This record gives sequence, structure tokens and C-alpha cells, in this order.
Amino acid sequence: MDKYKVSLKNRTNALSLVAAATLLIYVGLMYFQGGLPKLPSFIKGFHIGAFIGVELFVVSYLAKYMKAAKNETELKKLYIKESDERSGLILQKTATLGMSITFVGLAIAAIVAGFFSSLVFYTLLAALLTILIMFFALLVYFSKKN
Amino acid sequence: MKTRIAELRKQHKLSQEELGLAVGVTRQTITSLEVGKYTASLVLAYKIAKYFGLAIEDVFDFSEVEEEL
Repeated sequence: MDKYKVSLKNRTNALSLVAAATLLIYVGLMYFQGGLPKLPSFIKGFHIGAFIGVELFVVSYLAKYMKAAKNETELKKLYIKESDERSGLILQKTATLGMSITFVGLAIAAIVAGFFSSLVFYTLLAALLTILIMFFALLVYFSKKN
Repeated sequence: MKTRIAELRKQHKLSQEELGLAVGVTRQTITSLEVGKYTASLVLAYKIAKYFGLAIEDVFDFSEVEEEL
């Protein structure tokens, strides 16, 4: 459990850093807004939503980790929740199926888009290739690790 | 896979939550094991059997596995 306590402390520090960096980036972008291209209101709204989402996510996890760090029972419960083997299996199966659906979906979308717009086609193809490269890199990594 | 976990748990007057905490899994995992929806890993099977002071084959029913062999 001591190792897990150290891991939680590291995570707390990393999350605090993420929260601070996100805030700095957002404030910086707002400050230099004049030098940036004019954006449609939907994209602006998306940026604000993403910023608020990241901050809320970080705050909720920080609160969870701090609460667990103060109480041994809570700490053990959190550890069990994170390391539960059935949850791990569920996540693994979900990720595997989700990945397959994403591959096939992107490939079909790229083929269909190719008939209408070359820009959309290349964008989807780039996304598909990026995911494929990442998938095979991780496959090699975990094959060597296990 | 069929198990005797529910029976042993009741004998020892334990809740699913308590057994889960003792062997390091969630209450939901204990439920799934008891109803046979999930098959425990070797490590978890060992922990559960050890907790009740029994051998793995006394807690988990391997007859279906033996039929496959």
C-alpha cells in the first residue's frame, strides 16, 4: 500500500501541473486572442467547454486522491477499485472491440469520403494510419513486456 | 464456473464487500464469481481459497474444465 500511496502523490502532483498548465494556456490564448484568426462561435464554445471539462476532471480526481490519502480504508477501497481484475478484463474487452469498430468505421468513412472530398479523405486516412501505427507500436511493446 | 464462494461466505458470516476487501477485489467481482459469470484468475482463486483455509479445488468446481480435457 506504501507504493500505491507514492503513486497517488505522484498523480496528485501531475494533475496539479496539468490544471495549472491548462489554465496558463487558456489565459495566454485569451490574452493573445487579437493575434489569432477569427473563430466560429461553435469552436470558441468548444474551447471553453474543453477547458472547463479538463479543470473539472482534474479537481474531481484531486479531491478523490486527497480524500483517499487521509484515510486507510478509503485508500484500500480506491486501490481495489483500480486494480480489480474483473474491471481490468471488462476494460480490455471494451478497448479491443472499440478499436476494431474504430478501424473498420474509419476505413469505410475514408472510402466513402473519397468519392466526395479529397480533404476529408486524406484527413480520415491520416487518422486511420495514426491509430494503426499506435496500435502496432503498443502491440510490439506489450508483446515484449509480457 | 461454479464456486462454493456464496456458501462459504455465509458460513463465515461475511458480506460480499468484506470478502472483496479481504482478497482485493470489488463487491461486483464477488457477485460475478458467485453467480458463475466470471472466472477468477489463478491468483484470485488462490487468495479466496487461502482466506477460507481450503484448497482451490475445494472452492472452485473444475468439472467443466476436466470434461474439456
